[in-house]
Amino acid sequence: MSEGRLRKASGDAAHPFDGVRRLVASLESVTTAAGMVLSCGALAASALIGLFQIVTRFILDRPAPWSEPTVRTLLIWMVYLGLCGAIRNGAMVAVDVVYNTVGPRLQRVMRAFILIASVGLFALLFYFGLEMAEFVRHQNLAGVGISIAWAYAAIPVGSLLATISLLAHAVRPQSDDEVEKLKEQAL
Amino acid sequence: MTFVMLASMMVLFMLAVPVAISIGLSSAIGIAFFTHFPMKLLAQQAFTALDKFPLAAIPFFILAGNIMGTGGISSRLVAFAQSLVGGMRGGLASTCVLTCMFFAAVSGSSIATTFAIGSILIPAMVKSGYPKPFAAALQATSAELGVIIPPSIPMILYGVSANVSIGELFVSGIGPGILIAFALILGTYVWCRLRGYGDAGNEDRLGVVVAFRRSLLALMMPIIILGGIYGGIFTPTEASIVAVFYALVVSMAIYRDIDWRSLLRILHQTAISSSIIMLIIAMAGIFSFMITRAGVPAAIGTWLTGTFHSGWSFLLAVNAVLFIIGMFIDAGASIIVLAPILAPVANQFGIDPVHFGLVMVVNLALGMITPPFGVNLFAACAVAKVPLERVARPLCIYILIIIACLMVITYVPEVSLFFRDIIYR
Repeated sequence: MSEGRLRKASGDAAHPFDGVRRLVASLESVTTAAGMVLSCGALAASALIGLFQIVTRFILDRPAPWSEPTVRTLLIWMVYLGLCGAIRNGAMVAVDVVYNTVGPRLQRVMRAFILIASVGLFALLFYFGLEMAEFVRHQNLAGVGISIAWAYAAIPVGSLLATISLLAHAVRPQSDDEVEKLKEQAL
Repeated sequence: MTFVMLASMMVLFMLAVPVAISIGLSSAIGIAFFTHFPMKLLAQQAFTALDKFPLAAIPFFILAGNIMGTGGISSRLVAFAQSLVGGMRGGLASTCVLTCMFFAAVSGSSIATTFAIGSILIPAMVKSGYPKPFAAALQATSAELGVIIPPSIPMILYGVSANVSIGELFVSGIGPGILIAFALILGTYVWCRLRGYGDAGNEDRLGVVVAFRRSLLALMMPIIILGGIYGGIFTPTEASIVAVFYALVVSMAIYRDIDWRSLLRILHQTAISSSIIMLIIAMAGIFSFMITRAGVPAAIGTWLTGTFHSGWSFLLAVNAVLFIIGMFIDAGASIIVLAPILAPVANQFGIDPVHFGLVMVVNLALGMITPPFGVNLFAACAVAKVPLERVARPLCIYILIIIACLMVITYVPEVSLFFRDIIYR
């Protein structure tokens, strides 16, 4: 019986937002998985196309005109789609000197602020990224012949996935494995 | 406007808002309240800042480094370094420096170097009697070589934002890299003598020839990358792609250390690392665009040329300021914002832009091991499982060594430019 009471006391069993939490969490697990699969796919594809460019340059003496813009575009997609995974793992680089010195209550306030700030930036990027994609839809990617809007679309799509990831990270933070986090920070 | 942007960025940093998001939001504040630009500019710059082929080298070098770090290449490099310097006093510690130097030549990142080499050598050093804090401090410092010895991600960023040849920057990193490695080995030797560390544990080293043969394919990689760039065969971006496939073939087909499953994990990790750094680059690009439009670089430039009368004092001031900035701000973001401001001024003082780039990169690399925001230090402490406070003492010695090297690199341009002048002049 003590176990049941404990669980209740800690607010785990019947939280008013439990349904919402579960919904966000399950939605997020799908979107982040999809985002990361596509991000990794874009990385692998851009490496292969890059290799193709080198080979054609050596064999045909001139690279195909579409390969370089395609590599650039795929890598932009990789970056914006990969953000949801970075957020999910809590791997975004931050200066947490102050955060680590304040008490747990202030930490909660700071976490809420960080969430609002991050969602704010991604909301801006989402809305104006869409506007930008709309704005450039008649321009073509040089050498590829498709609308540059397809490249710009990476920003709103990635921002949307990142926002979902942020919300899920807020309601159900993943285990904080410091080593894994660090491994993902480059430089 | 600039003041509000800088102040809001600082406040956001203090509140532990991720670096990229802080820079992006303060730029958005600048756009919204101080200009007549539409907010679309934010999205447009977030795109164009990344839409550059030289930047494509960054994810590819990270990928190549991750493949190298996962496969047996890092342990082979350790064995080779150990066969060279393992016999002297503090041999294992010197092995750490030397391996980092080799690994730096295949990786453009310091953190990747810390994990790849530290996870092998920190436990080994602790086992043969070196104190943990010493091992962690040494590993964090040596891994700095990752961004000084080519290929190097900060050099790519400097090249793109200051309009300098990335190939020339890469080759100029060799001299400073060797200088720092030598200084670290010397410092370690003296320190080990004084403290009596590291007089045992070298029994099971391989012979030089055997170790060399076993690591030959790994050692070939920098020759292919750099030789390709300087032979005019590849651009740096193409070289990064070649590095990826060379590492793949060596690790998957020849050494057989990596299977398809671990390749997927490596891709995943690379996509995440690249996203993090590239978002910082994109947001710093917007920030830089805004302050350039506001005429800040020109104003700072005029002020600097008016205040300092010689390249000598200018370099000293730049080093002092960068050292402090590096303690708090990510090296990539600092380079993107500051290089376009400082490089033209350096040029007016008659300082070679390539030499100046090396000064910036070496200085900001120091920021990776100085608290409070020393990513490399965190990584080494995480690998060694030792609290940050205990590393402070040995770390101070290594920081002093690097500062001494930085002074040499700053005031003796030939250290950086010697190899460049051989190849490009």
